[in-house]
Amino acid sequence: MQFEVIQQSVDDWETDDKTTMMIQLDTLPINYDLVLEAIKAVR
Amino acid sequence: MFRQEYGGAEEPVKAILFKDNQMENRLQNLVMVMLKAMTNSSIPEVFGHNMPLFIADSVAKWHNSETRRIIDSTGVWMANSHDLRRFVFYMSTFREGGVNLSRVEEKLKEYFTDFDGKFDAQLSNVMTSRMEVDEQFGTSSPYMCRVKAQYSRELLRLLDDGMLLAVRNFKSDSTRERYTLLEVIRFWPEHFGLRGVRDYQYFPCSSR
Repeated sequence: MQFEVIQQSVDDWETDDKTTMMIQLDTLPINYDLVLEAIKAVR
Repeated sequence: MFRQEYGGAEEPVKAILFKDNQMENRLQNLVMVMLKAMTNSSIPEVFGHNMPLFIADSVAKWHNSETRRIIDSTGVWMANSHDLRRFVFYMSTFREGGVNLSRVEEKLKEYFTDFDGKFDAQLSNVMTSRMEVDEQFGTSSPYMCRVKAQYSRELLRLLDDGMLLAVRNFKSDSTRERYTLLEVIRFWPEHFGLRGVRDYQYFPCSSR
């Protein structure tokens, strides 16, 4: 059963199918925030 | 005369009194015989419970476990069947509308890039890190953040360890936007179908 699912999923990796696959990222927050003062003026 | 009131009804109660413990009490004997028949002292799990109910419960749980496997397996099978894909994931098409960039988003493009729309991601989880200072990654953050991004082969090629992601911070106020910067330490693609596979599962019917 697992082997069958793995076989079926081989084709998926070659596609851009967002419904069956996802990218996960582990990230660490760095110690400094980025502050943008100009942005609000645009609103 | 005794009366019992229950649920709005009032009924007379006929009390039977026995002179002493030597009197024959057939009803009590019947109850005791039934209780004794409905228990089994050799099965510890049944102790204090009703044996027929215990058996019925066990049978129901067995059926549930059997059916659960079929349901789980069918779910995995459907999620992986190419023929059913459009049917199963019709909800996802809601996202595929036109992209209207507001002036604010246009302005943000001066500072950030989403690789021409390829990087569509959400901060999904903030976890406390076991070590405050991680010598392996050279950081001193007590948190680790999990980010989930829409799959794209092109995006996988563009991503790299050490990249910085900007997440809008709740400390933003009316005069300035504040962004928390996240350093990517690892990333990997994930297939929903493979994630759901368990050792005990099987296909309910043969797939293509």
